[in-house]
Amino acid sequence: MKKTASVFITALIIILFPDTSYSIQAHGGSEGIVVHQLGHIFFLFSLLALGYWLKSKWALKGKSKLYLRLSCLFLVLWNFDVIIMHFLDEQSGLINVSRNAFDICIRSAANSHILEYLYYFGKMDHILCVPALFFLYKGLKSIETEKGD
Amino acid sequence: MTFSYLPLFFIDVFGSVLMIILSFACLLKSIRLRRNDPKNVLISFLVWICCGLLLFAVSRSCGHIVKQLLLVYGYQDIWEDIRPFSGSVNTFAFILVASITIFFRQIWKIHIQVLDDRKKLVDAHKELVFLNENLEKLVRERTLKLEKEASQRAELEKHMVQAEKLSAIGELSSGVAHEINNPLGIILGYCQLLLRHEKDTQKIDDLKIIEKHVKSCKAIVQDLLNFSRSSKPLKKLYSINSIIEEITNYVKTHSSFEKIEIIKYFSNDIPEICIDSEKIKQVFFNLIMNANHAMNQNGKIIIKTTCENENIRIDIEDTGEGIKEENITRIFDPFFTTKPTGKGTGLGLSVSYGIIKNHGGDIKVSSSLKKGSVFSIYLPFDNSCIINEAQN
Repeated sequence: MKKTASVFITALIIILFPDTSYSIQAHGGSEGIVVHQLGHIFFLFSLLALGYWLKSKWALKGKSKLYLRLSCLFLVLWNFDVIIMHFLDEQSGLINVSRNAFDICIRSAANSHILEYLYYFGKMDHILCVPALFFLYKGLKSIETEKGD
Repeated sequence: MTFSYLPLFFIDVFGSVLMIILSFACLLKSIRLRRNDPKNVLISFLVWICCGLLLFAVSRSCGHIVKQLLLVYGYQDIWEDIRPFSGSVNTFAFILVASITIFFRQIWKIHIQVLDDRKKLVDAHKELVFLNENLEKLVRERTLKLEKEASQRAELEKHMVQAEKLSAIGELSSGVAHEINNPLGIILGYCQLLLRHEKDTQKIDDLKIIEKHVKSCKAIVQDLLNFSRSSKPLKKLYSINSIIEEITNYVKTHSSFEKIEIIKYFSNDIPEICIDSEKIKQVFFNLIMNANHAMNQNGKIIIKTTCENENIRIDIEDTGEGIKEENITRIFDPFFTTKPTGKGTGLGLSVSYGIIKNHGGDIKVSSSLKKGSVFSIYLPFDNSCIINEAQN
């Protein structure tokens, strides 16, 4: 009875007189981009592993293996590209971008035209991720054919 | 440096649209694959990957299209509000895809295990179906096999009884023959001595009758000794065909073979084997002479040689009277004869049987009354004499 009463009184004090809690860590600032970049790195390595396992284990004879591995390769390249782009965009401060209606002005802090070109073409990442999905589709289609055979 | 924004814009917008289309196509294709093979865990894995990629492509592409449109129409502040949500969903989506991807190895192991188990199940099912369908046949086959084994065992026992009988008679004959041989020699010697000095023709005729019968007794005794002394054969490499040829050429000169036709069918692939040629000649001679008697010196003797399994088979067939069924089991017994008294000792076939057995072979007989008999001799492909010679 005494135990129940003490628990009840403690709960009442906590509810009636609340104060700031420091037990949960805040996730503000640059943590979002770090998580995003780590996600890309994880994705990149998982694709590398998949490409390797496909090489050694994929049993179907035909083009399915080639297409699936090409899909992995393009996704790896895409991840590599976006990791660099995110770094230039949001972490390094090496690139400054301003845009008017039909032009985009890219300025490198180190005044490097190579870096500016790299940034401009790197931004066209769909050139890598669209073929990746295309090869995945071709791979699935080949599996259908090979299984039919 | 200033660049045109249009390539970036078009690649971003059209690329995003293509991403959505392709990721949908991939998902539909993978679902179709799963529909065709619903128990394949690897296909399920591909469906999950495609689901993840679809979520990723849709969130990312929608984000990009919305971003481009908002930037073009000057609503950058709105984009800045949406951006964290778009980025978060995007991050979540590709981490999801990566997480699924990383499980490929485990999925593969499960896939292999499932395939293995399925194969075992199919094999077990096939075996069960086979056993179910062929139970009667299998029981029949097994019964036949058991019957065959039982008959082989009976045959073996018969051979053992025969061998024991021969051995016992051999020992007995040996002792008796040895004791009789010496007095017979003395009788023959004195008889011939008397013949040399006798002038009286009546007495000469009487002595010649004694001499003839003593010689007959000695021949029987010699046969008994031959039978009992089953000495180890002195083997050398010989061609069976040439031995038969030699024997048939010899017997043809005998007057009793005048009306007998000897037909030979020799197989060309008969190898030379290790045999005691003198003893084997004796066997062939005995069998051919028996055939002659069975045909009353008129008929055909057909001799065939063939290779059968690991043996040379020699068939000696006659067109004689044949052997009565009750006599078939006794023909290899010593002293068993169907010839009239004084015409045969009944030891020829016993001796032949012993010789063939000493060569590791076998001798069998089949007969039909009024049609004839076939004696089949089996001699193994024996090359032990070459090996022994090489070792010496």
